[in-house]
Amino acid sequence: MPFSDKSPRRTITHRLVNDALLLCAALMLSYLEAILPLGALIPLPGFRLGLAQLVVTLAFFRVGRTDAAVISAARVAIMGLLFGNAGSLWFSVCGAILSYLGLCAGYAWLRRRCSYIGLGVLCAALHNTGQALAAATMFGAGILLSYLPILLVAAIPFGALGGVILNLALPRISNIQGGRV
Amino acid sequence: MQTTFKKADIAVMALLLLCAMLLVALPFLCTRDTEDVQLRVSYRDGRTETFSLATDQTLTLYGEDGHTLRVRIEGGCARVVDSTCPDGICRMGNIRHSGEMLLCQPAGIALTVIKGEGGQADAVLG
Repeated sequence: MPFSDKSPRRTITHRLVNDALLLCAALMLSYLEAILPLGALIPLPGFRLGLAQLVVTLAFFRVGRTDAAVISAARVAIMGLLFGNAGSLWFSVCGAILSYLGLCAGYAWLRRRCSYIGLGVLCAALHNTGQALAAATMFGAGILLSYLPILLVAAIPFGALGGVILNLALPRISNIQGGRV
Repeated sequence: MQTTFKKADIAVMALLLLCAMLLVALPFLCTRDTEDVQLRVSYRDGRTETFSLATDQTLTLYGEDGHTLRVRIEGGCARVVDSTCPDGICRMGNIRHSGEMLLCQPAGIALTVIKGEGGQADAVLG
């Protein structure tokens, strides 16, 4: 017997499928970012496009906060297990946690003042800060003074680029599965 | 969220730039040692090696996953001249003052300038 549109089972199933699709998109973008020869185009180490963060932000604003957290965590875990090692997994976890907290903080304090550009820059900066903190736990606090300034500056252009994409895309994407933040 | 560019977006970027500049300026506000300093090489598995910055030499360091770093010590300064890692962050800049550090995360190698044996280490890696 088919479920009605308002059946809870259908909603849960649709939510699961939507989250899985978004997770796949995030994984594909992470992998694409890993294989792109960005070093040849921009010969500045530490610069990352942060494409997967676009999917997490989309999920945050169009599906739900919990879904975005789960997608981010699953992406980090899968990418770390498939393509990384314990060290890179630790780096990714710290970066993902801080960037998600940046999403929450941006929604709470900046949603009336900033566009997704400011939010993207904030999340990129917090992601890089998380990775610098992860490095500091492994190699000492001196790493923060050595690399964090470079990483903060690197976060600006690519965080802004992601924000421009979100500014254009999100108004054209309706709430997915009736999700609301 | 707003979907058009706002002045607050510029404020966020400016705040980040300010934080970065403060972090760069902070070491210069503190007294730093350049005399009697050594280069400590720390590996992720806990091994450490120490080299004098007073002697010009080239080091080849073998890290994780087959990555190697070539470090040149010259004129009291250490820098990574070549590395096999894809990031290349370690190739940026050189270090000579106590507390400065270069890190190659893919290779799991950190280069730290520490005070010489007669002084006290700035940090102890476990």
